[in-house]
Amino acid sequence: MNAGIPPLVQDSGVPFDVLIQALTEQLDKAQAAMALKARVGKLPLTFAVKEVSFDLRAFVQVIDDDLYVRPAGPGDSEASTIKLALTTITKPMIEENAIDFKPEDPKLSLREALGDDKDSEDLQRRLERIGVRNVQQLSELRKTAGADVIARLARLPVNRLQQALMTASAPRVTQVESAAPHLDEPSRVHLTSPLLRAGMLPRVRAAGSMVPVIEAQNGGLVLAPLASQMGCEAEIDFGDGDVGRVTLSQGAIGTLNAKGGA
Amino acid sequence: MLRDLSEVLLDLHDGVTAASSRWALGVRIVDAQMTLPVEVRAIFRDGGCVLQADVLRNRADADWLAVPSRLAITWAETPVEALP
Repeated sequence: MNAGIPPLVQDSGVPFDVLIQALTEQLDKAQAAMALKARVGKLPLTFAVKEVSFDLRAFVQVIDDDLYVRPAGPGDSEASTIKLALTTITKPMIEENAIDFKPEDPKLSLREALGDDKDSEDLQRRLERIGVRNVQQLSELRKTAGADVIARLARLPVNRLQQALMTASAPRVTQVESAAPHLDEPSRVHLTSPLLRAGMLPRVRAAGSMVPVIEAQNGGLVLAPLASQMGCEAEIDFGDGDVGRVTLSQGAIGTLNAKGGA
Repeated sequence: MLRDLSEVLLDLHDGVTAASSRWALGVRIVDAQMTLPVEVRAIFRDGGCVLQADVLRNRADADWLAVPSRLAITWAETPVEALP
């Protein structure tokens, strides 16, 4: 075994999906560098990788239901062979399938929802590896696949993910428009939550009575609470068993209770 | 000394490009296939797994590996505008 490799990797290798990811990352990096070189050189044609096949000599073992692979090193014998074949995708295919980053609302970014401390950055990176780039996607995936599936795919503890889901989906007050004293108009409270959908009017209650909803859109809501409801805790029933609570005051960050489980 | 696999691929790309540019008499390379014995290892770096590799450079290297891994690449001449 090679003394330069940390002991953990030396003994069991890396999970198979991580190895595949590392391989595709290297191919993507190489393709990007080749394209850049050709564009800088103003070449009309260049050579690109069309197909790659890899007969990887490696030792394979199963640890806790996960497949671990350690590439064979000098001196190793009787390793297994893993045959991998990859092909490149064309630019139109990428454009059809890639996530459009431009219209992404910064209010729905994972960084905004989860915070930017080191722990959250790690969580964000793990979610991005499984293709979850914003709170909306995370929320949709929770509905369709469930938190335990996301946790398994992203290699996260379920309770950590559930906590993040709750934090990310919690309602927040982003703006309070105070009523003019001489006009008989109520204040307006702007709320955000990835659970809010255009066309789905949530039920909002505060101080024992309903709070009028005057605008509902994807990820946002505008309320017109009575003066007596301002500063009170509002209960927002999103439907599907999700109920959020938030104080009707500027900058308030609420909580979410998922009745049906996260 | 193993390098990131992407660096090895870039060197191979330079090789194909250089070979192609030497043909100037009405014949040009449009496809190239390489099958190379390689040594591979996975390391953890910058919070993730990085695949390192390199071709076996001499007989001494080859003697160490009973059966080395094998990397087969097909290169195709491609218009630059079609690249991702």
